Amino acid sequence: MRQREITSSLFWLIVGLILTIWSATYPLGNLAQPGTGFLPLGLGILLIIFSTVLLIRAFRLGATEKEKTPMLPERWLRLGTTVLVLIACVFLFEKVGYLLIFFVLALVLPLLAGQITLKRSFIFAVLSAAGVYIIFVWLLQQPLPTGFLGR
Amino acid sequence: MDFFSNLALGFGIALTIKNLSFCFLGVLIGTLIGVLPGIGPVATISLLLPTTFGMEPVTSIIMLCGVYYGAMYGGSTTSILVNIPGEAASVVTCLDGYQMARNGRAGPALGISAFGSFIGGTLSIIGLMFLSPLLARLALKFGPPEFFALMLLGLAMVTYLCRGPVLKGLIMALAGLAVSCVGQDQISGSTRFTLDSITLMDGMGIVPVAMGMFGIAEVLTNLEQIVKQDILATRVTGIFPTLKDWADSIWPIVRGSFIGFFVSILPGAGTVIPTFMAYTVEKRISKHPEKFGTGTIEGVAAPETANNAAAAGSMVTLLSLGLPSSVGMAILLGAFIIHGIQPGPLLISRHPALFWGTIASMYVGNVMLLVLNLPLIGLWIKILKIPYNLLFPLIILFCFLGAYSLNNNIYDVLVMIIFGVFGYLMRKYEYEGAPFLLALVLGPMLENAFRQSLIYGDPFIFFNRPISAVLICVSLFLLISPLFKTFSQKRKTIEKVLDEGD
Repeated sequence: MRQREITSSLFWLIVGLILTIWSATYPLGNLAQPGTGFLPLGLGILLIIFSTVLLIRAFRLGATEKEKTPMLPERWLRLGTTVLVLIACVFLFEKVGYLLIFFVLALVLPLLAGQITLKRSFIFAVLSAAGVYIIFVWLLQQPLPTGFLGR
Repeated sequence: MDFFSNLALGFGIALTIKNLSFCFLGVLIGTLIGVLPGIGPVATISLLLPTTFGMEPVTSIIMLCGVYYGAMYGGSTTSILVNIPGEAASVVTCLDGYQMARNGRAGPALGISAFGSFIGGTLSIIGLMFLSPLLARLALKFGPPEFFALMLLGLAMVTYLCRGPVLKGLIMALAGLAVSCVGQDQISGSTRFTLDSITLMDGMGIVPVAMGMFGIAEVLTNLEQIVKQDILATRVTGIFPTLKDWADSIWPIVRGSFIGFFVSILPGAGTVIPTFMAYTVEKRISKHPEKFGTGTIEGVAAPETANNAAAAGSMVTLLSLGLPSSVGMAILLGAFIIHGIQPGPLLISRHPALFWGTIASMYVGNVMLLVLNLPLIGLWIKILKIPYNLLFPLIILFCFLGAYSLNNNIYDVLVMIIFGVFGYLMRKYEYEGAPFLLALVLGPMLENAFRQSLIYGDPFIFFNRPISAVLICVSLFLLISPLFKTFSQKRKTIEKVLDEGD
């Protein structure tokens, strides 16, 4: 609990500092005519103040505060891999095309979640890619990138 | 007379084949996502938004509103049969709904929640119809300081109603405002925090951020531990409540309608708080409070009525003042803006067809939901049996498609994923997403109102005008009240109730 509070307060403190410094590079204006950087600067300063208060409170939390059970490594791995697969799909989407990307996503994501066989996942992926084609491309006429597969 | 001709105009629009079809589609999708845990109306409206670009604004708004109030209907099915709320506003229905199902009374529980939802929704639309024009007329007298103060109150309310320390809610609201500053400054025209990216020059899109924080983050949270849903193996029979059920439920339904409507008008109240209030009120005034939680029909009727009444009630401030009172309304505001319509005091006079068409469609949609819900319960039960490891890839696929289709820009998908991870981490560290998203939506309007107010030349203008002074004082009071013991305890009680619901 204490460690989590310290980590999150420090994160917001850094965000506040970056926002304040960055905002100061824009015209600030004055109270009668505020400039582009006026509001973000105020927000940055408030973020610094509030996160500092949270940080002080976190340091004051005694050892009596219960720490939550840390998440198991395999769950972190499952989450991390899911996010990485998604990011990879973003960068490959226009090159590879929607059909292959959605097929791969629908094949890999259930396998990552577990409790499913490769065969079932494969059938699900084929149906999902076909569904996307029928609903979004054929019926709704959404222009989606076809990639190297062409039309 | 004017009122009736306006209503006739509304029904003329809502009853066209096209609008009826899209209203039906909206309530059907709404019920479906209400039934399915893990995807709520916010993510769904965001997802459907790009598909409405080619539609007329009124058709698009009719469909999206249908999704919103349809989700309130659908949420009860999962709460009653699975003991997992399909939608946040159905959390409290689990308490008595699931117990009724275990006692072999799933049918009357589902039936009363459908009838209660219909009555609550309909009464609330009548309220919306009368109150919105009045509030809009009043708002015409508002200047930038009053609008600034009103938006500040909305943010303060959302922050106050957050779980955990108010400071965390405040930090999220400040972060949302900061993110809303990205892009072009609307007054000077210069750009801020864009890192020379063309995507960021238009500002941070509300839809990808909402999809990330409420769609992807939800999926990532559920991925931590995939729970197998135990659907109650009971035959759902006798959906029509008996006379005794009606006698027990009628007053909770009436009270739930009023509580749902009036509480949801308050900025930040949304649809969740009214359901808890309706349940608590019933328990307090009941002659047998000890039966609550063991499967009493009043415990289902009151919250289910309240959440539907709240769905229409929360539209009052959006349609008449242009201010969203909840995250769902914030996304709907985005939909209005994308279609080139600015909700606010002038909406009713400038776009009467849109306003009255939407109102009339809500009456029609409520009837559709009643007709749709009862016979389709078997189908919803079958859908509930879809395992989550097949459901979540579909949610991700739809989010991916939705974010991309917005501008055919892959960086919108990247923004969605980044905010998905951010939203997930914030949940882990017990920061709520609602103040962030509401601040992101209100940010540009708030900054404009703030800077326009200061142009009057008096930095104390917010305190010199009575309405803005009162609203700002209330906002400040809400934010500092947890420092005082009495108010801090009251807030903790709300928090406890919300936690129990989870």
